[in-house]
Amino acid sequence: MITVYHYLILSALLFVIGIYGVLTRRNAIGILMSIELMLNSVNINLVAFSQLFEPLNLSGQMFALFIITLAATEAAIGFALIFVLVRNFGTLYIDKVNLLKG
Amino acid sequence: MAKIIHAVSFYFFALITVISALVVVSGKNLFRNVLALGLFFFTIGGLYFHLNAHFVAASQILLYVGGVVVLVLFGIMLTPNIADPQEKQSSEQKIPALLIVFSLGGLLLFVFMVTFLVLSTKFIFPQPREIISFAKLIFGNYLIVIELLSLIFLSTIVGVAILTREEKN
Repeated sequence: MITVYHYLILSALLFVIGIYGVLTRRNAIGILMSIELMLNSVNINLVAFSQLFEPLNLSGQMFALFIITLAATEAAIGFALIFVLVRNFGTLYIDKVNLLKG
Repeated sequence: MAKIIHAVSFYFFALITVISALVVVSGKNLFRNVLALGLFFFTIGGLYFHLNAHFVAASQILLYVGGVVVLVLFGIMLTPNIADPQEKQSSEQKIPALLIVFSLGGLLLFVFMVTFLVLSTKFIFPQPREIISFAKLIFGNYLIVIELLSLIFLSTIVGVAILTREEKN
């Protein structure tokens, strides 16, 4: 019997994996991919709660759709920023970008 | 019988999802990481099908696998020396990162254990008119939010075009 706890634990696991990626990746594309992991794990929660508590009301799925579209725009903006980073600094590794370091 | 198939398919999708997420955050070759990300998005779509959310699953596959993964692949191919497996991909902050991850995961598990949720025991079959209910929500309750989303899309397009244009002296 699959309950909502299964989905909660799965999404918590994926969320902490995404946080680990954000904290340890050196290149900016890897960080962007880890952020996508975190957004997807939140979506699982929304759809699971919508389906297992109010199956006739689709509001939770609507919010999952909003997050999907916002994640797509976020990826586009993120890649534009990465291109600017590569053009100005010639590198993709964020530990090489230390312009504000004293 | 239906319940057994339900449970087995959930564990199947969950296992593939977790493994591909681990490959995404810890793999050495960036190209393989992107392919694992595509597999991750596909299996998340499978979990949505498992939850009877067919429209969300279709949008997930269309937007993520068709859009975001292709965007990441183009980003990798347009940047020089990125697919080089010799380059180190993770920083030296692994121990503090693991500390943060385990404390946050423990906190989340603690919250799940102390929260009482009324579990539904019904096995729910697909809604017959799912798309019609979605259309009623989009053009009814959430109309303003959809309009705001289109505004965000417009500003995204303009912002990306301004950020990535060629500099002229």
